[in-house]
Amino acid sequence: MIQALFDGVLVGSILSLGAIGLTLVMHILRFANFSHAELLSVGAYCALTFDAVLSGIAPPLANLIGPFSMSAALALSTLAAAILTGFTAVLIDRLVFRRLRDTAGPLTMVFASFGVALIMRNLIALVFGLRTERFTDAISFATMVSSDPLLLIKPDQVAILLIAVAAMAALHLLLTRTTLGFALRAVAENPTLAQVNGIALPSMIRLTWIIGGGLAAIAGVLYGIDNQLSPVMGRDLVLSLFAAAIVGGLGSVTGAMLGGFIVGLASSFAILLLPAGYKPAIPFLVILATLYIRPNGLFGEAR
Amino acid sequence: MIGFVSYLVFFLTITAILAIAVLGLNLQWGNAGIFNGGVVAFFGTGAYIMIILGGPERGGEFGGFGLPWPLALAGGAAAAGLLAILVGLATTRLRHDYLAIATFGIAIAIEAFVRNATYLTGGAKGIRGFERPLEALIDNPFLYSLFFLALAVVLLIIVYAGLSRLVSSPYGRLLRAIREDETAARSLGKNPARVRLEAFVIGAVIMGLAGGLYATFYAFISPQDLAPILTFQIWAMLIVGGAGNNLGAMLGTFVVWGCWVASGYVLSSLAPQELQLYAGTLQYILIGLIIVVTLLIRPRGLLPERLQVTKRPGPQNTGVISNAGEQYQS
Amino acid sequence: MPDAAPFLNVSDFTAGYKRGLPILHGVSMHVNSGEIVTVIGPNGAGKSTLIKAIAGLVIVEGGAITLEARNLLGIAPDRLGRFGLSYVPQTANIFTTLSVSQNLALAARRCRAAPETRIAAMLDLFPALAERRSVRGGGLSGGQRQVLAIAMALIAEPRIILMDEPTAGLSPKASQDVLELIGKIAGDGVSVLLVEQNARMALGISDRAYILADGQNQMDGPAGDILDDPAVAEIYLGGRRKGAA
Repeated sequence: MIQALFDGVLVGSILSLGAIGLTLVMHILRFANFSHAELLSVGAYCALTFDAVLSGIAPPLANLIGPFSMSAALALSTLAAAILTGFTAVLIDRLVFRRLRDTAGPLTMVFASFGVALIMRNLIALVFGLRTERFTDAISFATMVSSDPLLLIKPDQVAILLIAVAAMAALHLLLTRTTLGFALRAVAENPTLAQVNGIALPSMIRLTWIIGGGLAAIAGVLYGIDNQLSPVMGRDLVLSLFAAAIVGGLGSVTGAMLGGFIVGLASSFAILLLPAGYKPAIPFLVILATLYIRPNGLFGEAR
Repeated sequence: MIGFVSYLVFFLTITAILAIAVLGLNLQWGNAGIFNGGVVAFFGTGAYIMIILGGPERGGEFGGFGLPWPLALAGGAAAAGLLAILVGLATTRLRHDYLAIATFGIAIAIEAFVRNATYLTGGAKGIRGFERPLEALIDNPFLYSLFFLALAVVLLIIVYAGLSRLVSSPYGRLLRAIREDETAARSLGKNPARVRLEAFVIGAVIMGLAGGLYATFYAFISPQDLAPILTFQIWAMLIVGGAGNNLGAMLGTFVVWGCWVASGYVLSSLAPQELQLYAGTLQYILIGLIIVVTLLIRPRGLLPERLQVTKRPGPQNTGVISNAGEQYQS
Repeated sequence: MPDAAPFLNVSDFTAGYKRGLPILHGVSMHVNSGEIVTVIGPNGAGKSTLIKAIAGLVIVEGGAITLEARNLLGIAPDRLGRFGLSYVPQTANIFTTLSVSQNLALAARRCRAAPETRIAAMLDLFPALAERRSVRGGGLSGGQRQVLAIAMALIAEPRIILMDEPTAGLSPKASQDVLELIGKIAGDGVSVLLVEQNARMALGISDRAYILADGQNQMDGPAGDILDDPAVAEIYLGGRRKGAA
């Protein structure tokens, strides 16, 4: 039980990070972006590449920090990957979504995002191979925090949780303490009024992609540390991210954070009841339940 | 030569079966503007239920009712329709991309289900063995494959004719009216959510029919056949052909399925050994590119919809951000 | 005192929400410096469209618009603040999910002066807002919302403010307060272009007025003359009533 709780919170924190960007894009650009989860893969594989390069140039950076299987090189690489992934998202917007925004309806953008996801996922497979990768070969051992009820925690998992919470706290500060954050919230609420108040929409759209891509990259790295990297990780996560965004209510950052934890917990508790093979179906059940019970999610407004 | 002809017959049979599914999608997307991100869920449901209803006894597992083939096929299609009602009731009232997410989700859920519910579905190994209609009477395999092609084409023609009548009827005009302007349709006393649900269910039934036919043809169905790529392939077929145009939908099926098969052939015969493993990866990129490039360059497909009504909803009237400043300038 | 040269000049405007479907058919008007000008007319006359066209929010297919002799046509709405123009929409004119001070801070991003000083100035000017500075916009009363919306427009130190029915949905008392505020704003040298349903009340504080009907100019002149014109009163002011202005 306790183990399921911890595992659920851990996975939930990663899903929350990924879902925040998704909910912002769905709200501000008004389309369900099926390629968002691929940004997690982009971020994770960027970090993997930078990490290898950095560790090659400056071997001391590759030393593992304390009990963690992370190094200074990986930390720097993650930051670089977050920036690069943010700009990747802007680039994809420019190449595909922005053009469709000007000429077609939002569902056409949803449709295109399926195609974009297929291309991104398989390009990663082509470049990095179909096999799975890990950030480090070091095996990290779990500490038994409690034997009855059984609770095993790896040092890495504590770090993942802390990093995820720190990233969310940083975003929260941005949105509630800076005028840039107010501007982003303003665009989400009423784009026309935002323009009237001097906010240039194109730059806010870019900011949305940068934040969404950056957080997705961090989520991808954390997922890779906890599990492993694979070109299909985006495919495996996309439905969970949508479930988190929908449970939380579209456009609500707080909702997406909470939604991530709800979906993570639902998945980890579900395998206490159901055979593990049914796990991929859990996010769908969460979505369906939300749509029947509270279609606008926990914090969403009707629109 | 006979090898090539029999391959051609095989190719055309699959094309005809997929074209039925594409026509179902065309009703949903092309006419009613409903986004179905999980075509494979309805296709797969039709396939599995058909084979469970019509198949022989399977040692101890559920099914093997041995129903006559037409009944089994109809049962599969009906089951796909029921599934559509379940998803549609929750979503046709909501923001339109919710249906995209929910249908995408149900495809994943159904795949997980058939992989694991061994008692019902045979699990990962699937359900094998099915006596195809009139197979006992036609004992020449080549003749039988010709017969089956004819059967698939006849069903395709029936579906095509039925849908053509439907979309040119007042009901079809209502569907397109709702697609273009839901608010206006509501103000005319129509219930858009209800009509959208109907179109969604009819489309799903047609996809279920295609799935049942597919399982009949192979006398086999397994979770492999429910891979998400099938949804994307069917989408690519529709968009290449021209959403809203039934002839275009069929042409698109032929073109895209032809590209898929040809690219598979080229890769397997020409690509170096170490790249063989990545043949599927390259084919997936091809499908992704077909979708994105078609949307960007020729969004209305090879055979565009013949429009009696206004153009597709643009950014101004769908609530999307439109930069009024840019319009102002232009 | 109004200057002689037109300050905001709109000539021969053809504009609407969809290309090829204009709502305004060649409307011309001007506002002098420090003037309050009211646009009145029946529902559907194109009053709101006119004000949105000036604010850059609808498609303008023909005509010209200048502010202090600088062209405004084709300027994106988010850049009009730099030309000294602010716009207060009729509804949804504040951000309900942001607090009062966040709304002001957001609007102050386009200020040339230090944003903090401008925010402080607005809170000084409107004690009601200062008291509620941490209340979310959604929690304000109708009158307070209108005051906040006007403060968000004023914060950028505009030379002209466009207001679309600022008294719509307000109580008579709150309406009176808002109109008094508008008079005060103009007294400080800021021009005001007003669209109003409460034509009598609005004309009472205005210098001049334009009457639009079917997207075309019908009549214009000093506000007092329009108010006293019996034909106008009959058609546009809902008959003669006593003392409303």
